[in-house]
Amino acid sequence: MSLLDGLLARLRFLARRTSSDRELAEELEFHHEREVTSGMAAGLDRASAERAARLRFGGRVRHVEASRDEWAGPFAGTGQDLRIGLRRLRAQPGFTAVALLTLALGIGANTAIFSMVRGVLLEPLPWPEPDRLVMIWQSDRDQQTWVSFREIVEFSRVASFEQLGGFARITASLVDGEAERVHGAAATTQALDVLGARTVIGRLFAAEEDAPGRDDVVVLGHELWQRRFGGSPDVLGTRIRVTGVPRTVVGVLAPGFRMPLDFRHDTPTELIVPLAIDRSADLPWGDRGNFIVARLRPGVTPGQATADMHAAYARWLAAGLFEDADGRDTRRAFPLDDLLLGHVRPMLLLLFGAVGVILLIACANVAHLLLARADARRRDVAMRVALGASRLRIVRALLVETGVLAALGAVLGIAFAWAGIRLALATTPVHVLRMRGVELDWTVLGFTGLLALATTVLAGLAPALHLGQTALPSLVSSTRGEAAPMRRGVRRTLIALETALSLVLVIGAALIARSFVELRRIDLGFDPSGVLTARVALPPADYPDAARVETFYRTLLERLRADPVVGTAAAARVLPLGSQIGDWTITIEGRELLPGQYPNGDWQIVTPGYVETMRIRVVEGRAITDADGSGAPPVAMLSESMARAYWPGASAIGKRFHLGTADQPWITVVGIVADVRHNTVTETPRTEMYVPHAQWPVARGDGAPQRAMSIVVGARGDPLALAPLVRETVRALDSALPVAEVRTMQDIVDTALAGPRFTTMLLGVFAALALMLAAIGLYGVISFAVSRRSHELGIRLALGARRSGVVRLVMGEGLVALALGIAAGLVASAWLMGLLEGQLYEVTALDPGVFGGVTIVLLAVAAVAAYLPARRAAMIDPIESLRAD
Amino acid sequence: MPDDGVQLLPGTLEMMVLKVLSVGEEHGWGLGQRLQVMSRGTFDVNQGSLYPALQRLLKKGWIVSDWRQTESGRRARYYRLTRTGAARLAREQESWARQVAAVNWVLKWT
Repeated sequence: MSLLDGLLARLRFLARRTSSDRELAEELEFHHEREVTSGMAAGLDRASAERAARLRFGGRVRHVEASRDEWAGPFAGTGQDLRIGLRRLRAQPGFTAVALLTLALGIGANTAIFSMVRGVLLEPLPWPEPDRLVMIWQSDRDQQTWVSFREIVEFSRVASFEQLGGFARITASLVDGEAERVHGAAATTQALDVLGARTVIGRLFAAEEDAPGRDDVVVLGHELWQRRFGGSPDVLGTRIRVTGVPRTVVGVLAPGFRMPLDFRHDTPTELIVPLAIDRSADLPWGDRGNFIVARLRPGVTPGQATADMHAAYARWLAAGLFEDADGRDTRRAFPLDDLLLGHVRPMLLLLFGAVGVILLIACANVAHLLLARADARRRDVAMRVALGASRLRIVRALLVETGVLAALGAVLGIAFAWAGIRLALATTPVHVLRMRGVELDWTVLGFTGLLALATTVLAGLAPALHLGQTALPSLVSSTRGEAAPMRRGVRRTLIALETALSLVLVIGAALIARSFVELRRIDLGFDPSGVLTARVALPPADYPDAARVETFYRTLLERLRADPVVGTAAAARVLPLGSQIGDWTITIEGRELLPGQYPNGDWQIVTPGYVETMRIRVVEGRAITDADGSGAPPVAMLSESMARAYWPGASAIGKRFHLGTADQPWITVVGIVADVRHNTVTETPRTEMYVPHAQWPVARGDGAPQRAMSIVVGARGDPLALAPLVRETVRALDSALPVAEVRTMQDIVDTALAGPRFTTMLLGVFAALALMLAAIGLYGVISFAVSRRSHELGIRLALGARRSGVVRLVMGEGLVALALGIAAGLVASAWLMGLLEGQLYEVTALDPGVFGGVTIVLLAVAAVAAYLPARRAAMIDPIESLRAD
Repeated sequence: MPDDGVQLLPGTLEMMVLKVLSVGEEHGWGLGQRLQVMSRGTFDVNQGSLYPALQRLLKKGWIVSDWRQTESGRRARYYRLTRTGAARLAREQESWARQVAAVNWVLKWT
């Protein structure tokens, strides 16, 4: 009851707050009068009685405030503080603009990077219980590892896996209507189950559709269904041709479904066909071409699954299922999370750390500015304290003002972040970033709000407390002269802190930049400039035999070469850095197979003119020519690494080998070419063999031609200008054939370096920002010191101090703090840069050049920032400065 | 200038205000005077303590106030004890007596 009473009384009070203030004032006035009257009754004259009453009285405003505060709780007057804060910010547009921009940059950068961290790292992967999903990977290479059908079947029985399925990434041509090439997957029903695939209409594959002969079905991706079939449910049951094979549409996937490797590519999976496995046949172990995705049993770690797999291999080896482990014992179960985000995570965390540092610097800067202003307000505050304002009230007013600044900064920062994210996503070729929704949602905005709050406390608390301590004497004491020693200490600490922070950030950015330069300097083994590429895949239905495939590519290349702007033209199975290449076991003539040794080479299939177009150096022997046709004896070129690996100490030219371990035709080595970086830029060069396209069906032994090839065209000018020519030439040969992936070779190489470039670029921007903010901070502090000391400096000059002496004096003050900051920054960097080790290529984390160079740059920037105000100090006119104030 | 002649224990001012008002209604200045007289000059209550204390009591609903004419014809704000306030005063007095007795007991024996 009394609680309710209290509440009602409080509400009434709030409703008539002003009238209540008036009442209090009147009441106090009455009190005063009675005091005076009783004083006069005691024999005092009116003036003395008034005076005595007032002395007993104290500050009347204070009593009103104290009485009112009884009602209002600790937040009363915040609205007033807010209004005053805004007014004050408007009154000083210069200060406000600088502080606002500083905070907006700091908060904006943090918001942008956090939105990426959240979208990419904090969102769960788009599959049920993603932490139980693994792929089988070769541990000695962080690469997509292919497995055989046999392994898919056998591994399903390994106990660690609750469920396991195989899949492959395919490219499919759709020809009904406008010809189009899309990416898709071939997957077993188990793989789709593991990934939790769902359909919006129709169904997924039935169990019996996993077998060859009954697998003429297809499930469409949601996006493809909308785009190509207008989202019509009538599509179910229709037959469409997928790369020439007629298939019945049985279902449409739920929107947003992703296959695991989609995140490594730009294009998501748009359709799925069954990965048909003839489980009744005696499947070979060596015929690899698929991936495995599996769900671990609850509680089983990837490490246990790996051990389980190795035990199974050992069992199968002992049972004589195959003769040799053939590197299989290096396979491991890798968490999907690691595979997809493993290299993005350190990059994003690095950027997150960098923007955190920027925000700290921004806070330090704003704290400077507030301190400087607080100083200018000392008189005002002293006056308020004298009039009875409580210190809490004064601290709060300043904090509210900082809060207003931070809130406005956050709003502006969100705008910056929005623009920044758009720009970053539009330009980044880091697939994962683009594929996972990165956006400014409520969580991100909430984070921004927290940042603004933290900023308020970080930047505003020290100056506010400072001001709160303003003692009464400062009202009386001079307004000029040196700042209080304690405050100077705070400022020096801020300078040192800023210097240290920006040094750490700039050193980190410089290391990453140097590493990027080293990456760019790697000899790729080919020259991407001026080369246009395009992908063509011939449907088996229209090109059933090797002769037709060979004729198509020969004619296409001849026609292309006939054009005057085309320098050279050729084709290859896979392009370096464009898609992964894998190996094929070979048999070397006259050499016994030793256990545990499986000679192999990455199988590249090329037409004549390939090494010329890609400008791959022929080290020894000759390149493949038109003479190496289907009828001629099979030949091959080898990469230097392959020649050295299998014919060490002797020339490989003229030596013979064949593919596989059966009795395929012998291939004679006719040329050795330079190593090409194929799967990654930083890989150790792999063993690679180049077999002529025309001879491939023979060399392979079963006559199967290579139907999908990448065309490379060497242009005399801008390679992209050749795109229409390539399309038209293909269309003239086969109007139903889509041309896909038309892009320059340079673009492919750039994409391979996209991750490091993205990090380098952003870190570079952030480092520049940090340096700029630190310089502004230093400049601001020294400018302020100069303006505070102009009187003192004027006296010095009047007494005959040299101008150069004044410059030294003023700069010296900042430089001590600067030196401390640099020392701290170097120590912190030496300690922190170890974290970068994994991100650096050919650069050590303690690179002395970087540490030294960055220190010099920082010193130079700081010197300029300190010199400008110092010079102004030296220009002080002694007479003016003494007369002022 | 000290606020009060003697440092008051927290809460005692409120209790005394309630006690004074239990005799009859009074305005702020009168309350101060009465306290001074009744405490034989020990408590010279400053309005800096008195008025906030009155506001606290108002807020708790133990007293109410209204504006009336004084004998001299001036408008003044009179405070009056409520029933809750009276009950409260009784409880406070009792607990105060116990405290004082206990404190005295301790002071006497140690």
